[in-house]
Amino acid sequence: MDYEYDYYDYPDRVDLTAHEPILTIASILGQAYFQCALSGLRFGFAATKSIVRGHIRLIDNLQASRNPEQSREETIRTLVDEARGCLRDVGEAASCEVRRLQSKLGTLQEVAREVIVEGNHPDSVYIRRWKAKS
Amino acid sequence: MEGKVLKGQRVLLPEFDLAEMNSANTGGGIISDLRLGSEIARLKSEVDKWIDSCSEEMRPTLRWQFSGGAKYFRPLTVFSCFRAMFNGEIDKQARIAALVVELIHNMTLIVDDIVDESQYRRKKLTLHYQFGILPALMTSGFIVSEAYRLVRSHPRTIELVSELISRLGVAECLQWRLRRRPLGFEDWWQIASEDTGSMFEICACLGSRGERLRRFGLLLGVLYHGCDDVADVRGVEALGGGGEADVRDGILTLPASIAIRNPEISALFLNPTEEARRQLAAAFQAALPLAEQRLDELAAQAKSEAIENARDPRDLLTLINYTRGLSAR
Repeated sequence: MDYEYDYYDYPDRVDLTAHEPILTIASILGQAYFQCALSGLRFGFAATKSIVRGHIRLIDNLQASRNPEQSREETIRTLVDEARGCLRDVGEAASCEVRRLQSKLGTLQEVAREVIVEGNHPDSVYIRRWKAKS
Repeated sequence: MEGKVLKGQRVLLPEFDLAEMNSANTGGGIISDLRLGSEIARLKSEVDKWIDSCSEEMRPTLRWQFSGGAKYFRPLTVFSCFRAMFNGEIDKQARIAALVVELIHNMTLIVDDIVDESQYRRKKLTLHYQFGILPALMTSGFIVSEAYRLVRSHPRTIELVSELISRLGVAECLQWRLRRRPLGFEDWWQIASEDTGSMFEICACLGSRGERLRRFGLLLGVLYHGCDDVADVRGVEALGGGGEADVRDGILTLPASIAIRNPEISALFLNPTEEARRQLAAAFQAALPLAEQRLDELAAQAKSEAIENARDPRDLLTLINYTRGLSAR
């Protein structure tokens, strides 16, 4: 009896194939986390690049403003214009990164769905499974 | 019956109507709780005025579609989001937005009833059953063109209305193309968020004139969809059934999406024979506590969105509480 008990309870004897879907799901979640972290880093890098470029332009423009022909008002307008461009760059980088991350997570969702075998077989007849709410 | 062109045999499901919204559930009703009685009355009169201004040819179908039974829940969302951000009298732009949302909502109902071959809506014959498919389809197209005409001087509103109509179309085509077997809650979420959620999302953007309440709108819409699903199962449960029409038609309600996580129930759901329907109804009823739990979570998320993003979230919280209460009706 003791032997039987040990046999079923001993981790090495556990049928690993039964755990495969669970491992797959855990791996999918891990990949999702990796993609999120990567996305954060990529955005952080792109934003840093844009902001640094913005600061360099700010300094360049301040140096150019020493030119007596350029009025203070013109300098301010130039700086505002450059700052707006810099913020647009950061915003665009953010939207681009969000879209990329959404696409990656969408692909992972599909992979997760495929763990259930029946989910891979489309119905031959279309059934509209909702009714519009009044 | 005029224009009897289809043989759909959908039964009439219990619905909550404007009278109910005015009187039941929260004592004085949601419209009076939100102090929007005069705005809704004004909206109704604007709808009537708009119909009178339309081509004589279209007036009978429009009158039929817009008469009685409307809950005006989407315009209420537009007004509440406006107040939550601007805390003042409802202005002309918000009124036009509410009117346009009501028009687009009705367009979607007309198309939906045709696609589903539904015989009844709001306790009366559907437009295509009353007048025929062609007049109903033309009326839906006419409504869309009128909606755009009404907002012709508001580019952002045009953009949002376009986003809504295209999202509804894309979601519908995607579901048709994939013909996927539903696997659980996530499939329900996709339906609820693109069908009802997208409409409320746009209502929130129109009312708040920005993006801050977009997610609140989505969550409110999904909550509304889910509470209505649960109410349908619960309503028929009280009569000894269990969402019979939904079971027969293979509708993926919130309780159904939870129940089909069980592979045996899933197999029955995909092939609902006469015998299987009773088992399915019982399984959906058994899933009600989990469905209610999901709805509680959704309501909590919607509340935190409202609190974090609105200047004055009180009306939004009232709206959420009312919506959450609909599952018990």
